[in-house]
Amino acid sequence: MNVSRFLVRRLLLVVPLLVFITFFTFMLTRLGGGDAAALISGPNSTAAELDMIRAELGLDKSLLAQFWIYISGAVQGDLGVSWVNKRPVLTDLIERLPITLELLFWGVGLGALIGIPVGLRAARDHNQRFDQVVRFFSLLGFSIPTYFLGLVMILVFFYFLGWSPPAMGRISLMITPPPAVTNSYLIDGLIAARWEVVQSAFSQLILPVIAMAIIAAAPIIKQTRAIAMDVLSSEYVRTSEASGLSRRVIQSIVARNSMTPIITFIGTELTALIGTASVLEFIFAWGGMGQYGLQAIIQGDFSAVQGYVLALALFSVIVFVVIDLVVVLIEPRANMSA
Amino acid sequence: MTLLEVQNLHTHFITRDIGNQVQVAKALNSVSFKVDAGEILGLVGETGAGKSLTALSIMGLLRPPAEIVDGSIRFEGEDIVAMQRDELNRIRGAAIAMVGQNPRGALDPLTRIGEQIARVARAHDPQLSNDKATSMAVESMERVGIADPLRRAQAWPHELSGGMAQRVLIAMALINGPRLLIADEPTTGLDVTVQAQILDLLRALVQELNMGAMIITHDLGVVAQYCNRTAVMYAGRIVEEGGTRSVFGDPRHPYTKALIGSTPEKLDFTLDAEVGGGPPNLYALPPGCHYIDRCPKAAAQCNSMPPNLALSATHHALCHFAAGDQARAS
Ligand SMILES: Nc1ncnc2c1ncn2[C@@H]1O[C@H](COP(=O)(O)OP(=O)(O)OP(=O)(O)O)[C@@H](O)[C@H]1O
Ligand SMILES: [Mg+2]
Repeated sequence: MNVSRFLVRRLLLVVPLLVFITFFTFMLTRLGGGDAAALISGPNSTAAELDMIRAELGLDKSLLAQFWIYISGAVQGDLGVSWVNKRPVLTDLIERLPITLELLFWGVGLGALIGIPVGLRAARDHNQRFDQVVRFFSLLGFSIPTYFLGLVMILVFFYFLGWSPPAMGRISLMITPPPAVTNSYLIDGLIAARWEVVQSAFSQLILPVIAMAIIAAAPIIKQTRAIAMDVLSSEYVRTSEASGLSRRVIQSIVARNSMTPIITFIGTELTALIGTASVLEFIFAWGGMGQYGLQAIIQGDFSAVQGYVLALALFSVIVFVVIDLVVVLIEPRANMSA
Repeated sequence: MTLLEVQNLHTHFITRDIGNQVQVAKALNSVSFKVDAGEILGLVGETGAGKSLTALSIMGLLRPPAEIVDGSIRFEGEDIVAMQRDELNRIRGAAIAMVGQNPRGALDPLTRIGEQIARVARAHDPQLSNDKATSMAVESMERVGIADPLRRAQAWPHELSGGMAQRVLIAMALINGPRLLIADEPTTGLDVTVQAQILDLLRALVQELNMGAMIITHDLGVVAQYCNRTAVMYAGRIVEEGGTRSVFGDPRHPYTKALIGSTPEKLDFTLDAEVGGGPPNLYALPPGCHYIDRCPKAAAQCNSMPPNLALSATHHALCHFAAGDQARAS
């Protein structure tokens, strides 16, 4: 069984899922009220004008017919036009997705980098001092609302201490952005070899990424600890102890055997934390896809909402397929035909 | 030569309930026995009797809330109860080795079996080169009758049958030339032919290497066939101990009789066998004999601690009536 066939099969399974999600959100947004025609034409339009706009948008057709129009466009890469900014939704999404992913990946990555070793150690020393302290702080991480954490961090590190730049976007207003390649200023700055861009983008990233990491680390610690405790109580760890293996060797056995479920969990975290990223984007004026999606929902911009949901679904699907693949590659037991 | 001497071992589970009251489950109560070089001791008893707990106590594998509260465990004269983890690690896996039940679960799923065995060798000899450790592992696999050990060493645990996994575990236990082998239900879950192969192998190794062994089992047939001596455990106490022939041929404790009577092939051994009922509550053990509630011959005396009556130089039973019972039963 080779990897590409495995991938193709997984992706084929995903198509009906995506169609279903699209259908579901399509119906929800359409039935949820809001009048797109009124939104477009403004408050002073006549009934005749409204009817005209409806006909133009296809809003006078049945919902199923509308859905068919949408989905046939979608498979060709036409996700419609935002009724608010009049730009193609797909263009907006493609431009903004990397901006959100940048925040999400750095944040969750940092959270995992801290959370996994801490969780493993807490499991090893469970109920001892280290574990108790860790449990207290991860509970704290669970209970802080994202917006509150973001605002407090801005207050402390920008306003009081002056350590970080103002929370106004992804790069200092004084710097001309580099030519767009990936839309991550950090990477594009590196590509263009403009160090002032890299430096500014980096310092803008620090606060939101740390906020993201704090929110992400709490469940990673909790989950890692639980997974490792499970492994610790397994018979093979007992065999290892009975064989006189050192604590260090045993800890590495525990770490390796915990990795598959931890990686799977981090995959679900990545998809679940898009919401958190969206809130942080608002607070730090990040301008990524999360912010775009939240704004679209507030404004009743159906095509944009629809595109946003589809992008989230696609992102989740890709994350899960990648996780599956990683698991298959690291697990001797995993079976690619599954 | 005495290898292992367990004396007066008490292992308890000590917890606190919601009201912060200390709760003690007395799982092992004054367990004493010996294992000599070149012999196999069989430890039998119904589920929950404390057999595995005895093995875990010896191997230093107890985890809270389990705790050794009293007694000593001497291996070649040295008390292991008092040992720190590091000291203990020098002995376990080397001089004392254990083979557990559920052989598949006892292997690290992410490590090839050859490396898993070799790692036990390296743990006890940091100077050992990887190549040497690997060739030792292959040798050990060969000794336990694994065909084509060089190729098998590359296998993953999930690729092994239960019997093969058990052989791998035995190979792992033997790699550092242990003097004492503890096997906790080494053949549960294996089919009968494989069971016999594994036990024949264990017996051959004990004789060949002059090891001492303790086999924990539910299966009286196994004990009768393979063990030189038998210890019968009930509710955390050894209620009868002696040469296998003597214990099976002339059981003196009512529980031993019931046990022997309850195995299908021995159904007509004793007619008054009575194994109904369950074991006593470990949180509130009776003050005298633990078997009092299930014993057909219980009397007033049984509310006081029974003596460990010597029936011969090697045969003991923990019962007030052990000596006189012979007359009554026949
Ligand atoms: N955490 C605990 N708290 C209280 N009692 C416990 C705890 N864990 C185990 N026990 C008790 O310890 C006793 C000894 O168990 P052990 O595993 O040694 O039995 P066993 O003789 O090996 O049984 P089996 O034949 O089923 O393997 C059991 O009665 C069990 O109920
Ligand atoms: Mg047991």
